[in-house]
Amino acid sequence: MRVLVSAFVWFAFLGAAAAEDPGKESVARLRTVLLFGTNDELSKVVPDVKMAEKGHSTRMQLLEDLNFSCYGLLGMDVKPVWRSYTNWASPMKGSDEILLSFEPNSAAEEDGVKLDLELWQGKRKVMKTTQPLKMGKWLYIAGPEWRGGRLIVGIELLPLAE
Amino acid sequence: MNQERKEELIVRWMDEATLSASETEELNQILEAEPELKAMREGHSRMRDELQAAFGQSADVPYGDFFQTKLEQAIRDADVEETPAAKTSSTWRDALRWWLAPVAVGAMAVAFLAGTRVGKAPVENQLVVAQAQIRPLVYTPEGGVTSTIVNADAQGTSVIVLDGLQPIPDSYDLMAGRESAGELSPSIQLISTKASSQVY
Repeated sequence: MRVLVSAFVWFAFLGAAAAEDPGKESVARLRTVLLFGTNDELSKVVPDVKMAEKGHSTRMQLLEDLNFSCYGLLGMDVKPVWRSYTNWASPMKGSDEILLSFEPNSAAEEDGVKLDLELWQGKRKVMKTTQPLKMGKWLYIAGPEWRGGRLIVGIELLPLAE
Repeated sequence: MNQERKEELIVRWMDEATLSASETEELNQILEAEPELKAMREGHSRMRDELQAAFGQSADVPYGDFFQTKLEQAIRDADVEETPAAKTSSTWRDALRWWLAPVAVGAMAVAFLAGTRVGKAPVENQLVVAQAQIRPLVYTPEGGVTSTIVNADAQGTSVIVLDGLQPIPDSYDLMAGRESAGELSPSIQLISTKASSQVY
């Protein structure tokens, strides 16, 4: 009986300590989308994939090499940005081919935060950078080619609550 | 001419003091007898000008009283050790020791001030490093991969273009997370990838 009581007290203590960890506090949210830009008919190259929002293609029109005729939305993920811990975005549900890790590099401000970003392809880290992100401003990472098109990771910083 | 009078005239002349007509005449007689004094005076004058040019504003000498006391003590000790014969043969050069004492103290002060200024120089280097770290950098661990940062539009959109990444095989089904070449329907057209060479 004493063992059970001791174990309960220890678990309660550890649970309270974890709940009060300030590093796990969310300072913002990060929306991650995985786009597929192609000049072919999307439904023939990747069946059952819907078109991405027109805003993505509008922003890409300014880049000659990324100005594809259509953009498919392969997946989307919204994850909290923790104050001092790394979090992972996996926009492709059921696939870990493209992953993105992110962690604050500076104190979060009202209009943005500087993030350490790592792009992983096939469990290999292919890029690491530190970028200042502003609320509502998109950052795109043009990644590997696939089926004649290109995979593009889009990142948007979101406030804690919309 | 009295020896003390002669030394006084030489020291005042070295210090560029104003001399009366009679004193100038006496000094000219001394200079005719010892012409090497002119070259010595020019050397002292040049050193004084260089010090004034390097440090235009006069500064208080740190621990001036201490250095002055030590110098005076050293001179007194040297005088005590000299023999009486040497004392009788003392010339105006012995008197110059008193004139050189403040010069030596000033030189030490100059060296001290120069050392303090040199010690502050790294502050400028630190500022340069801080400015160089402002621009975001992209690190690509794999060889052959290059990156370009593009500010796409005025709305604040940024794009990092990674070229040289290993293409994902066309047979790989991203939606399923596995190879699916055998399961593709005949209507799906597989197009081989090619390397990009776009330069922004």
